[in-house]
Order: sequence, then C-alpha cells, then structure tokens
Amino acid sequence: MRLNGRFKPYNGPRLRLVVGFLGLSFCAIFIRLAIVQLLEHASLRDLATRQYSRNIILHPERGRILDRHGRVLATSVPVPSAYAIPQEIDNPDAAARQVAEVLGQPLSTVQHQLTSTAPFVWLARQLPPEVGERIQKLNLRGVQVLQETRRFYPKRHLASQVLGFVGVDGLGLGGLEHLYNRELTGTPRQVILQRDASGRTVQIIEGDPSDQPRGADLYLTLDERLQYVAEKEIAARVQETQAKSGLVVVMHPPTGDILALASYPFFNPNDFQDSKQRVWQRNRAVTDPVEPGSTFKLVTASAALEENVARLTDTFYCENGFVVRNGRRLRDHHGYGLLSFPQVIEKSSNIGTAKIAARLSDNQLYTYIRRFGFGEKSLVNLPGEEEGLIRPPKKWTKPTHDSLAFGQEVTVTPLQLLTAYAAVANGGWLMRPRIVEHLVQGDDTQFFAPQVRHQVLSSQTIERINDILIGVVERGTGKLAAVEGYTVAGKTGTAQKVERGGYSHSKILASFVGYVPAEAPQLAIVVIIDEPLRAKWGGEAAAPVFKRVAQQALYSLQVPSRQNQMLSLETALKLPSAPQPEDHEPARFVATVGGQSGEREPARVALSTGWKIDKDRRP
Amino acid sequence: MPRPPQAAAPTPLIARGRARRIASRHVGMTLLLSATMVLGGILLYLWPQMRLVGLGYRQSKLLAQRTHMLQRQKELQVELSSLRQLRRIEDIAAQHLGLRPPQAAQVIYVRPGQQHVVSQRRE
Repeated sequence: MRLNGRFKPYNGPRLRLVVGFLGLSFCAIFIRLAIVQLLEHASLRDLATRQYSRNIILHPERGRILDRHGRVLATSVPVPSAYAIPQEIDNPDAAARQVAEVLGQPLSTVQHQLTSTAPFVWLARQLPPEVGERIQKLNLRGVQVLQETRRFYPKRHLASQVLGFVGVDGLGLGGLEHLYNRELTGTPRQVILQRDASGRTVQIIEGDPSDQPRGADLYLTLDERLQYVAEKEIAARVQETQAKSGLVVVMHPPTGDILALASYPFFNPNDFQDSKQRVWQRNRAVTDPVEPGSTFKLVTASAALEENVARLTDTFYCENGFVVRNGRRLRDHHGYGLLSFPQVIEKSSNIGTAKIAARLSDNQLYTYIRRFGFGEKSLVNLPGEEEGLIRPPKKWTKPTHDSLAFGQEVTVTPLQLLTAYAAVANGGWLMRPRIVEHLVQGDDTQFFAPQVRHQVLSSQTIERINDILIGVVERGTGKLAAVEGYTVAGKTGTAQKVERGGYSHSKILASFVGYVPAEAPQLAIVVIIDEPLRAKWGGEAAAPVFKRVAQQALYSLQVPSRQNQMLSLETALKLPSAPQPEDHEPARFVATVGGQSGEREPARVALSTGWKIDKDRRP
Repeated sequence: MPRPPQAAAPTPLIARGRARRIASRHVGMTLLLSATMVLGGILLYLWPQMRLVGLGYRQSKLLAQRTHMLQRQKELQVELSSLRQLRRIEDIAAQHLGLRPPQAAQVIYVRPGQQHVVSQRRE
C-alpha cells in the first residue's frame, strides 16, 4: 500500500463497516448519555444519594421538669433496648437460651419471640446498661440493641401525682407530663450523613448531628424542700391516725403559686406499671371534690360581714347543741348557749352559723359561694381538674341554705378551698393557682405570670375575717395549728362523708385550712385527712400537720418569727456564748443569709455552737 | 585545475530524520510534562478529598465519643439528683452525724447583703 513513500488511503468496504459500526456505537452512547443525563437524572441521583447517604431523624431529648430553684424532678436518660429480627437468626433455640439467661426471662417466652414470623420483635425495653452490654457481647446475628430514652424521676415519689409519668414510648400519660407533652417532647430534626460501605460516617451533608434537639424544660412553682416536708408530715400523720389517705397543699397567697402538693399514699412514677399503685396516681387535690364541712363557714361569715347583715358584736343562741330547723336536725359537737359572731366561728357552731346565714338571702349566699371560686375550675395548669358541685338557688330544697352555711350540699376540691383562704390572706384577691412558672426552650423563655381572677371581699371585711380566723387558732378549735412565734389564722373542718344516700357517722374527712403569718401571710396551707380512726376532728387530726408543715416551711423560706428577727451579721457574730441547752447536748446553730422571697439558693452558714440570742442586744 | 572537493551537503533524508528525532523528543517531553501536570492535578484534587474523608472519619469517631461522654454525664447527673434526695440527706444527718433540727430560738436570720462578710469569716 505504500506507494513512492506515501500512504494511499484505504477506502474499502471493511473500513466503511468499521467506521459505520463505531459511528453507531457512539450514537448509541450519546443517546444513552442523553437519557441518563436528561430523562433519568433525578431518579438516578436519588438512587445514588440513597446508596451513600443516610437520613437520620434526631428525636429530641424530652425536656426536664424542675422545681422553682432548678432542682431536677424528672429527666430522661438513654437506656438500651433489645430487639430481634427473627429471619436473620440462624439457630433460634441456641440464641433463645443465651438471650433468656441474660434477660432473666423464661426460655419459652424468648423462644416464641425468636421464632416469630414478624419482621421485628422487641425482646426487652429500657434495660439496665449492663444488661444491654451483655446482650451486645453475645454477638448473635439477628439480635441487636438500640438506645432509647427512659424517663427517670430521681426523687422517686416526690410530687409524683403532680408530675405524672411517661410510657415506654415516651408519651406523657399523666400529670404535667401529659398536659405539657407537646412542649416537653420538642420537634425532631433531620441530619443527612454520607456513609461508606461499612456504615462509617464519611461526611456530614446536612445538619449537625452533635446538636441534639431538646424539648422544653418545665420550671414549676413547687419547692422541693417544702414538698418533702409536706409529704413527710402527711405520711406520718396518716399512719398515726390510721387514716385512709391524706393530702397537703401549700400556696404562696400573694401570687397563687403552689409551693407543695402532697398526696399520700404516694406512687413511684419510675414504676408506674405497678397496678397496686394505680389508684394513687390521681392528683386528688384537683380531681376529687369533697364536702368541705366547717372550713366552708368562711364563706358564710364573709358574706354576712360584707353584706352588713351581721356585726361582730351580734350574738347568736346556739340551742345548746341541737335544733330542728327547716325540717332538718342540726347538731353541734358541743352544746353552746349564747355566742358572739366571732365565737360562733371559733367554736365552729353549725347552729350559730346557720343562724348567721339565715340573715342572707339564697341569692346572696350563692353569689358569695361563686365569688370565692367554688363551682368553677380554678384554671390551675393541672390535668383533670373538677369544678365541684354547687346547685343554683332555684334547685335548693328547704334545708339547703342551712346546710350550705356549714359546708354541706356543696362539693369543692381541696385546691379551690385553699385558693379561697389564700384570697383572704392576700387582701381579698382570688388568684388563679399556678404550678408551672415558666418554660425554657433553647434561648426562649415563656413565663406564666400570676393572674388575679377578681376581688372577693373588701379590705374592711378581710380585716374582720382575719381576726376571727386568728381567734379560731388562739381560742377555738384550731389550737393545735398554732406555730410558736407566728400568728396563725385558719379554720378546722370535720365533714361527715356521704354513704348510702346519707351522712356517715363513722367516716369523716378531717381538715384544716389556714395561713401564716397572719399579719403578712407567706403560706396558705390546706390539710385533709381522709377517714382517720384515731383522731376524729379536724382540729385533732389535721391541725397538727398544718403546724409541722408551716413551722418547717417558714424556716425554709426564712420568714423570721416574732422572737427571732433579722440581725446584721456583725451583731450576730458579737452575740455572747450561752450555756449549753438544758439537755447538755451540743446544739448546732444556723444563721440564714437572705430572706428575700424568690432568692434562688440562699446561703446557709453554720456559725458556731452554743450561741443564744440575747433579747437585749437584738436591734 | 581541479576544483577542491566541497563539503557534502546533508541529504534531505538525514535532515528529516534528525528533525523527526528532535520533534519526537519534544513531543515526549511535552507528553511527560503533561502527564506530570495531569498527575499533579489529580493528586492536588485527590489529596484534599482524601483528607476530607479522613477528617470525616475522625469527626465521626469524636462525635461518637462525645455522645458517649454526654451519656455518661447524664447518668452521673441523675445519680447526683438521686443522692440529693432530702430523705436520704436527713437520714444521714440524723442517724450518722447525730444532727437534729435547731429549735426556733436557736436560729439567727442574717440580713441580706452580708454574704461577703460570711465568706471572709469562713476562710
């Protein structure tokens, strides 16, 4: 083909065939390329992305619940859960034996789970970390461990009826956990990672996996210390009196803040599935209305004074303890003759109170009952609140007016009763009870400010009622509620429980509601003991609990007593050493710095031993 | 007179061969340079990619460590909260340390704003 040193182009049919073939091949490649790039681009890109990238949904960590000082009452901790993919298990019998031994479950149960036809089976959820590790170490194909979060209540039964509990799937099923489930749960977030063939993360494509989303933290108005004191004292008193149950609610009257809400028997929310505890999971301070008994005389006395139908100097003949009025027999626990208006309340005479109420019309009495917030929800942010029962005057029977005067034919929740007394304590303003102070979500804080519902009484009536309630504790039925060094105002109640269409003679509800210090109330407390066997009256069964709770709460809140005013530190340090106390045991003395309400962590200073306050040197 | 012999002029074939050798050397050099540049370019491109992958693995490992540490911190916080149960503290104070609550008259309330004096005193 070489001719004279030059190439002669070959232009034969074979070449044309090759060129044609190559041309067609290139055309086919271009067409395929066009299809891939233009038509199948999106789907193929998705396919590729799916192969090397992995979308991870970061489920938020459930927010914590804390007390007013930031002490943790409920939190979530990661715990292992074991699951199986039965189709992947090579030898179910051998695997079942090993798994059953580690989990401490019956072999037959595990065998049944591992031979299931389901694609996914939970073996055990929310295990202790060491059990999770042991399952992983078994290294069984088809048996895996994944991390879940479990709600944990480090203070166990403390405020359990308020907090509620969370199910195994992380859903709030009771109490504040249920009411604020959405806020506590938070919003899930997506992260996209690039992974290699062995599943290791190569690159973060979208989002920040280290930034774990969180639900909102719930700060309550509860004070852990006061809650502890309330629970300790109510439990002790219920056991002492062999009662069925008991509850204490402590409120800060100026704001309506609930500082403690204890209901005994308690339940442990860490073990909420225990059926024996289920009956005590209800927050009876808001869910169970009861007849208030004599504590309701506050309404009658207030209405009579506010409407000027009775004066403090008026006297009432109490029929020596028995009378039939409006077709109903009325009894007093002691026979009294002539009593003044304040004495009627101090001695808790039903007959005297009915006679005071007789000066009010049905509508007047009903108006004041409603004005004190009875018959409607207090709007506290707790689930399951009942409004109680008060019938309108047109549905009253003949004895209803008398019965209402001393707290029968009406049902109220303990919280409603406390809110009414708190209104007297704070100068006549009915507050909306508050148990959630604020929510913190990242940098955002949502406050729930104290809310005044309306004014109940004038300041003049408040002063008179205050004096009467002080008299109840100093001279009347509530002497056991007196707290040394403080002026206590309150009222006892002994309500017969309704049984088979009538009032029971054996089953009673003993109660005491009051506030302290009466001059500038910082605490309003209601105590209810259900069916005590050993002490039959409110003044005997419930008043001592008020005293103990108030004493320790005042101490904790640094409210100085009359004998124990605030000193400057210099003065306190100059106090002379005193002889040892009478029992010759070394006593520890505590100086408390602060005293401002709302102070977060007041410093406590142990000064010395053997000091005594010298009255002459007190400023 | 005979003419002196003249230097023979290079034949066109030799000149062409030399030129071809020179040209092919240039082509070789160019190709080598190009290949080196391409290789360098590839290395320049791949090195940060490889480094990125390596850092990705390292980050992934550190994140796992961080998660583990946070989990441990959480467990310790829960344990701390459990240990701070007031009932437990009261039991220890009363039973192990022999402490008892002070009587009302034994308590001194110090006015606010004195903390600095207290801290000095404690030192």
